[in-house]
Amino acid sequence: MGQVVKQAAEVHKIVFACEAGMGSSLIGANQLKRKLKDAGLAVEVVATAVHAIPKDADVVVAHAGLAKRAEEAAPTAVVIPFMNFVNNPVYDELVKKLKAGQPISS
Amino acid sequence: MPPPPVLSLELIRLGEQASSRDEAIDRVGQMLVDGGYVQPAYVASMKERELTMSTYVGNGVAIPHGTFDDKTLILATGIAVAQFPHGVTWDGSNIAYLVVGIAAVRQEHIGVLANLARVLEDETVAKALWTTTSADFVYETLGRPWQDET
Repeated sequence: MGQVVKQAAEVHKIVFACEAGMGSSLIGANQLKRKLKDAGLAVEVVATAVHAIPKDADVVVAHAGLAKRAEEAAPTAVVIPFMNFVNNPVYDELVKKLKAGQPISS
Repeated sequence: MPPPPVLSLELIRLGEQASSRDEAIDRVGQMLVDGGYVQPAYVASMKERELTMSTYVGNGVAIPHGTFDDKTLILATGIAVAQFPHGVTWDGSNIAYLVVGIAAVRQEHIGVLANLARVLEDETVAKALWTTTSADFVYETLGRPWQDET
């Protein structure tokens, strides 16, 4: 997989993906939604199972163990892997870049 | 017959004790089995899932659930809450005090999870849930109607 880069202005839909789409992704999506809202950013966030990632996803946040499957499911999206829900630095980095208008890359 | 409620007082147990993560998952898993939400094999799926990725989500809360392939073992969407005031070692240094077992067929449970996400951001409420002796408090905190503010 080559590296995918998106400009901040191109990011309209962020998908939080987990294995089953039952629990973890919903919690993660809610956490991210809150941070985006606090930053005044209007970006859609949806939670799905990794096999059901919508094709129009611009950014996919997924557990590192699922990142490869996420890249295959959404080849045009920037896939951002994370390791742990606790003190997850991914949210703040993503929000900061979007707010500053910086490019997002995998 | 209408489906059973996603969360109910019968699905909340306080003051539980478990000496391991698997034992804690057995507890919430059995609650889901007894409530008619899942087939017994789902409990093994919940344990297996932890091996690939911990469901510890912070502030003393873990949300064990089965794998995608084992969704076929779910009969109805349900959430079982077990409180372990003495804590259960979940993964590494993370200790879970509130174990929220999830079986979800569709998305009927997103309100409860959204409430839970909010609890995770508020250490005071999270800690209240670790030790409360009121199942009503747990029910009201997690089961209150939820509306997306965004």
